[in-house]
Parts: sequence; structure tokens; C-alpha cells
Amino acid sequence: MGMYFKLQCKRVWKLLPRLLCALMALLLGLGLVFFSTMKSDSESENKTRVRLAVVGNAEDTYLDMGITALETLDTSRFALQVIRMEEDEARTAVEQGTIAAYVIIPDGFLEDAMRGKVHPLTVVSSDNAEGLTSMFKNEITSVISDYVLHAQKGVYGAADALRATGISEGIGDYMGRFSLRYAEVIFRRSDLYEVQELGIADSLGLGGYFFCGISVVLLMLIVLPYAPLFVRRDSSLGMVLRARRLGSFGQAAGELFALLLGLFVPVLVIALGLFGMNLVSDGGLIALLGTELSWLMVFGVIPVLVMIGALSLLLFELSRDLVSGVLLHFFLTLSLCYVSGCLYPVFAFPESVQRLSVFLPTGIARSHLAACITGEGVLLSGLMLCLYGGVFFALTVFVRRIRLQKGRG
Amino acid sequence: MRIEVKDIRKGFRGKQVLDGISFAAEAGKCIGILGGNGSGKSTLLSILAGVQSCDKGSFFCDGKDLFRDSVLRSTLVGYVPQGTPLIEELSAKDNLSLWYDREAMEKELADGVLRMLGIHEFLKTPVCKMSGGMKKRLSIGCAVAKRPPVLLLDEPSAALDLDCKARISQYLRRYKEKGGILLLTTHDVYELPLCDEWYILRGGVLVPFEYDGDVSRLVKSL
Repeated sequence: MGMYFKLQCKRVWKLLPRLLCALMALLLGLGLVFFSTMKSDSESENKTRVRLAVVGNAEDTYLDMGITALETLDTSRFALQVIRMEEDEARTAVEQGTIAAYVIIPDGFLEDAMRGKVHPLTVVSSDNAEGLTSMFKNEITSVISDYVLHAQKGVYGAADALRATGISEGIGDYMGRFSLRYAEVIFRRSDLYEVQELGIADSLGLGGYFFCGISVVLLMLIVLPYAPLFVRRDSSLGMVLRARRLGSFGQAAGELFALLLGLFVPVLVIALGLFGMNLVSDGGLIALLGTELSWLMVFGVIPVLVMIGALSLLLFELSRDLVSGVLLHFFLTLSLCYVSGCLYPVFAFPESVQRLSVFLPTGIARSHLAACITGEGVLLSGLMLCLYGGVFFALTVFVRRIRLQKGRG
Repeated sequence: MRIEVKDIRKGFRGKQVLDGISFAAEAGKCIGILGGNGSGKSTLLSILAGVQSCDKGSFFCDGKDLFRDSVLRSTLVGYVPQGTPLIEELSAKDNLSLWYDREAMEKELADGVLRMLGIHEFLKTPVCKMSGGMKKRLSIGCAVAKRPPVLLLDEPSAALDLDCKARISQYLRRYKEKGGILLLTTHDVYELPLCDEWYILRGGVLVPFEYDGDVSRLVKSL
């Protein structure tokens, strides 16, 4: 069996350079798509920042301070750009679409506010900016009401109280420090909550999910170039080997191990490519996956390869010629991967399909790769994949035994 | 050395393909088995080689039951099936390395069986680029790696040119002369003079036939 395994490895080895060249081209293409997507994403982020104008009585020191703080300190600055404009200018800008909306601060707004009277703010926007108007209301008016009304009322109230008790020295300075302290508290309101993203499946974000799904598809398709080596119409060699006491089990085992080696080398190349891409993109790939790249991910692929290798060998064994072998493998790959959610998020499928996908070998393979990323449940999914691999291998041995018994030479 | 095949029976889906096949052969003899397509010739050889199992029967070599001792059978019996028992992508040398250790291969290539078969001429050629004759010679070269005293050949010269047939025939004569026992199935009258005994396999039964060079009588008997 040793020499048979060596010769099978030699066959696989002869095919590897062409396979690796094709893979490199594929990786290069994927890399270009990846970088162009990242670039367009960051550009569109800048484009989608909403521009809002403030017009009217904005000369008041505290109102001006509030708007400046909103522009520079508040977390809303990533979504909003606040600009001070004249009303005519702002109206033209809304009509031309250069700003989404503007808010008019009425005369004496602040003075009345400090006396407890609230004049309504007028928000002017184009028809199609309804969502932006509510966003404006949430962000601008909350800051103005929280900061300007309550803060200033409190600060001015405190000043009035001090004056009433006869203290007047340094009040202006205290009022300024109070205001700044209050502003600090208000603008840190995002610290009051924490966002936890559960991910769309297997505790991964969309990027990580598709990385696992597409990896399973890619690994299954990498087997196809090996089809000419393992699809056989002539079983004469198998017959002679059997006559020399290397039976179906030994033959299939030698071929499976060679195929696994032939699959693992491209995986290593892909892994090195990914590590390289991550370095070049300055961690961009990590941002996409939402996790660190690790060697656990690389070696964690082995159970997936065992399953895929054994399944492929079975399909090739069942095929009578190369064309039927390739077609059978290709369509089964697509079907299994689709139903397992490798090509499309599994939660979008009916519940019955979702339940089925958990038990399909490709579904387990996807979950296993996700487990390798998160580091949770690797052993269980790995064992299940090896079990599937064992079943497929046993079926391969069975089919070959029947073929040899029938003497299909 | 003497081989003895006794009462081999094999059925497929209710049809009795081999129905009590028995014959014997002494050292240095060649048995030729003729028959129409699908008569069971290849099945008989693959059973004797140990590829297929039979429903009943035994295969003795000097009194030892080879069906019960697969190690001994694989040592004593060489087998060349009808197809190409070679790895297509690899060279002749790689294919030989499956059956020969390095020293034995070099020795046989220098002045032994492999030289006689002319394999040294295409040692580095990949099998997929070989002619049918080269493949057949290489297949025989692989089959006789352990110098088996019994050689089973399934239509050894089918679809080969005359030169190649002559080379193979020459080698098989030498094999006989050295005391080997040949058992071959054939459709080719060119190979019949090589045989010492002839049998026609018809309806699962082996019928002795005396070949005297009259091909038309042979055709009528099939």
C-alpha cells in the first residue's frame, strides 16, 4: 500500500502546479474585488453623511457653543454635518439637494427658553427627506432641549440663587465652568449604552459567515481538477492490485490520503494568501471577518477536507466516465452548498430547510469553519465531519469491491 | 510443478456462467481457452487470479489450495487482465516501481525479463503516450515482477500490431521454456500455435479442442 500511496501522491503532485496557478489567479481576482469593495465602502460612508443647516438666531454664545459641540464632540458627527447658513441660502441648498434639511431657530428662543417658554423649532426639508427629519429631531432638538434648556436653566438658576444670597464675585466664571461640565456629561450619552452584535449565524457577522460558506464551496470545487485522476472506466489496475492482495480498502485509502494531501497544499497556499492580504490591507480582512486569522483556522480545515475528499472519491467511484463524474460532483456541490446556506444566508430559507442544513455535511463544514474562527465547538463539528468522511469512505470501498467483483475491466 | 482447476462454478443473476470447469496443466505447458464474447473466459481468469470469488470449486498448485491461501496465490500466480492495469499519468519506470524493488528492476532492465520485453526503450514515457503494444508489454512486465510460475493472460495480443504480437509471443515461449505454466484466453489464431492444449468455453462448460491449423473448423466449433 505504501508504494501505491506514493505513486498516487506523485500523480497528484504532477497536477498541483496547474492547480496552484489557477488558484493564484482566483485569489488575485478575489483580492481585487475585496479591496475595491472596501474602498467603495469607505467612500460611500463619507458620501452618506447627512448635511443639516442651522439658520436664525444662532448668535447666542451658549447656543453657538452647543452647535460647535454637536459638530465636533458628539457621536452624531459621524452621521450629521451641521452648517450655519442664512435662511435664503439654506432654502436654495435644500432645493438643490446639497443639504438634507435646515432648522430655523426663532428670535429670542434662548431668552424665552430660560424663562421656561419653548418656541417650536421649524424644520424645513425636501419631500424625500422624511427619515432625515426624524433623525434631525432626535439629534438636534434633543441636544438643544437637553443642553440648552435644562442645562442653561440650571446654570442660570444657580447664578440667580447665588446673586440672591449676595454672592456676585466670579459668578460668570462659575457659569462658564458649569456649562462646560454639563456639556461633557450630555455629549457622553453614548457611554450609557453598549451595543452587542449577535451576528447572523454561528456567532459571525455577514462577512465572516460568507467567508465560511464560500470557503466550503471553494474547497469542494478544488477537488474537480483531480477528477481525471480518480474517475476510472478501466478497473484493470484495481483487479491486479486485488490479485496481489491490495484490496478495495487499501486502494481507496491510498487514493484518499493522496487526494487529501493534494487538497491541503492549496489550502495552505490560500491561507498564506489570506495572511498576506490581511497584512497588505492593514487588518482590513480581519475587519471583514470580525476576528483574528489564526493557524487554528488553517488546520481546522482538515476535518472538512476529510469529508470533502471522501465524498468526492465516492462520487468519482460511482461515475463511469469523466464528464459524468465532473457533472455529478459539480451539481451535487452546488445543491448541497445552496441548501446548507453556503451561498446564501441560511436564515433566509424555510425552517424545514434550516433544520435540514444542520445535518448536511456541507452545513456542518460551514459551521465547523465558523467554530474555528470563534474557537467554540470545534471538536464536536470536527468529529461529525470525520464521521461523515468515514461513512463516505466505507461506501467508496463498498462500491469498488462490487465493481471489482463484477470484473469490470 | 502442476496446477489443477476443479469444478469451478459461478453464476450471475440466475445464469450459470461457469458450470463445473476443470482442467490441469504441467510445468512448461500453455493452455489456450477460446470462446465467444461473454462466454465467461475473463471471469474464469479473474477467479483464478483471486479478483472474483466463485460459488464452488478449487485451484491447486502442487497440491496446495490457492483459494485458501491468498499469500501463496499472489506469489505463484501472475495476472494480466484485458484492460490496462497501469497508472496512465506516470512513466513506465514509475509503474514498474509499484511491483519491483529498485535493485530487481535495474537487474531485469539490464538483462532480464524487462529487457526481453523491450521496456527499457520507453522507460521514461508516460503510459498515456504509449501505444497499445507498449502498454501490453509493460503490463506483462509488471505481472511477472515476482517471477510467478503461473501466468494468466486475458487476450494478451488483442488489437496489437504484428510486430508487437511477435515480441510478446517470443517472450511467452521463453517463459514456457523456463518451466512456467501459461493460461491464456484468446480470439487470435496467431496465438494458438503457442498453446499445447486448447479448450472452448461454451455454455459455461469447457470442451477440449484439437487445433490443427484449420481455422474454419475452429470457427464452426465456437
